[in-house]
Amino acid sequence: MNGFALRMAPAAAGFGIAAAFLVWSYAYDGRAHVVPMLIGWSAAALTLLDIYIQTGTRSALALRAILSGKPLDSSAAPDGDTVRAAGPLRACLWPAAFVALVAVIGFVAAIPVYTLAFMRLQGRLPWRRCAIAAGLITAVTWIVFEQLLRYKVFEGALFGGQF
Amino acid sequence: MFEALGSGLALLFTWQGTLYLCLGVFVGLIFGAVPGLGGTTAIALLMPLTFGMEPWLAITMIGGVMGATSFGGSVSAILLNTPGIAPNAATCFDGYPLAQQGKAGMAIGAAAAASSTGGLIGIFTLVAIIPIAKQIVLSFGPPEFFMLAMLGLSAIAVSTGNSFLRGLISALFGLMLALVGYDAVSGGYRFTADIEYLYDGIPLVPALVGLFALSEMINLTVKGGTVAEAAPSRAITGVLPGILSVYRNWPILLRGSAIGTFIGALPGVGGTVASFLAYTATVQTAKDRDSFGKGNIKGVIAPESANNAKDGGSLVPTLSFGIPGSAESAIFLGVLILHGIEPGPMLLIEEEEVVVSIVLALTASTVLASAFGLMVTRQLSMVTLVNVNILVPAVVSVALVGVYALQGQFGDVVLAMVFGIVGFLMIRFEFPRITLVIALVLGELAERSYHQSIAMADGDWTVFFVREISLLLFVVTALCLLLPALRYAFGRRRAGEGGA
Repeated sequence: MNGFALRMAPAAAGFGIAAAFLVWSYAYDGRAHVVPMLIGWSAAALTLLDIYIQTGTRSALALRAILSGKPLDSSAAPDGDTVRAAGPLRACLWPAAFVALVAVIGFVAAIPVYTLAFMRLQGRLPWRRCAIAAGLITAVTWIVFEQLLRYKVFEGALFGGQF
Repeated sequence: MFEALGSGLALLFTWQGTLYLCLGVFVGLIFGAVPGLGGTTAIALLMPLTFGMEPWLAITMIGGVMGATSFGGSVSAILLNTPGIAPNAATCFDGYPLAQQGKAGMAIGAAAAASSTGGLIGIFTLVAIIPIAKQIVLSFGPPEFFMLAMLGLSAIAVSTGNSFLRGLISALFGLMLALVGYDAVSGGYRFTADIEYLYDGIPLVPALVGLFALSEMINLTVKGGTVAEAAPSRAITGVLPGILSVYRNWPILLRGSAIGTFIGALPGVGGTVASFLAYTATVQTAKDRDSFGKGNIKGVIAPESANNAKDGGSLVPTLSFGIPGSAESAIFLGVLILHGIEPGPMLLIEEEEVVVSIVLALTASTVLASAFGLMVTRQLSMVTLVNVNILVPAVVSVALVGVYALQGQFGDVVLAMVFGIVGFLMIRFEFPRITLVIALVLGELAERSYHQSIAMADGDWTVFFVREISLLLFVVTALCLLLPALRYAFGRRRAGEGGA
């Protein structure tokens, strides 16, 4: 992803959320939509301003300087720079995969699988160390929550867990 | 107040009170020492564990964490040149050079004494301000509460510096999230997309755990490796001269504490500004300016006293007006909500024993953390060598099991995960998370106060500007929003004068 797209994407996403919220707020009547509308319009205006600032034009840079209270800084990331998105994406997928696994097989079975997979595939740590850590983390979690605090830990859809 | 103080002290010195306080201090020291974790992650992680506890025990434990993280962070700053939490960065300037000269014990002793004394000064200031704040709160009506919420959000957005615009955007997104669920004004559901799980609104605990614990873990995953790079090589001796040096340099201690308390009381400004300001003030007024950055003990005393004094200061807006002064305070409000205590301006009036419990826990933990920390300094610094790839699955597992355990709803786990990813994206794209969280906490108060104000004025929106306190709060809010532009204008003018 190049620098310009990387700067513009969050600003545009912000505007998308604000616009969707604003449209949604019109679905309500009377007093229920007064505050949402105020918030929606304010968010839409500010996110548009954010988009404009990301364009990097001279006036946009000046506006950025005013809003940050600091002198004009023209050293914005050059648009030609590319940023690797694979690392952050993979990092986000780990907890998502863990939650999906928990939904199917429950915490007690998912924790060792996730820990082992994370340490081995992400951290490239030795198998033995991974296995010991996975066992320890599972045992500590189980002892603390199930035995000491008497909480019921989710069992997973396969073992009768209710969503 | 004195009655509550007596019963609070009696509870603190029961075996459970002492045990949970020590547990909080222990967790706080470790999470403070490990860069990337910090007090917010620790409290977010512990929050679900407190669910079955008595509220005062939960408050005691969390108070222990809050009081201990600063000192934990200073240990890794001094020994490894790696600040555990951002406010400890100023301690590195002179703390690490002292350690390199073989005076690590002296620096740590000074940090311990400055932290605990500064912390106590901050707490005593909080106690002194509470009766005044009570009187102010009693004179507030709905328009004042609405303006107060606006002021809190604006002040926090301004304090995010370069990210001011995105701070405001985050605050608005937080308000949007706060509107999800049942609307008491119209009696209907809003923004739930007919998802039953959302009928009661966005639950605060999974949101906080996701935004502060999981997002930090995703961030650490991207960075990889170990948190710190090298273990401390020298033995730690000479702690006592370090402790004594703090009291020999009492003006620096007092100034640092005063700066910390004042800065802490400003919503959102936080410990980093406080410690750097205290450090800069000390350097500017010192006769031996050249010795700073090379191992001057005063360069440890000033930031450490400011850093801990800010804890008491940040609780002033949190407890008095329900406006969290920092991310830690925001999560702390989440703990109160979890235990059925409604944060907000009436907390000070109606829940005196809660306020007293917080003050006592903070006082005890400030002293205990330094004493305990001095005993385990070396072990504490070794914690930072833990491999991120072991830390991450451990924290993620405990966080998500804890989130599920609270209400037994799998939706909470999914929500925490979603907020974890959102929080990570916010870190990545410089959208401050603190404004979103504080808006999430304040959203309901803001909307309710708005409607009450309009109703009591028969639909006349000028109600916000005709009452003195409300008008004053509006003016301060407007000044807050204009502050970056004013700062820019003054900066240009000064640059122009310099050039001419």
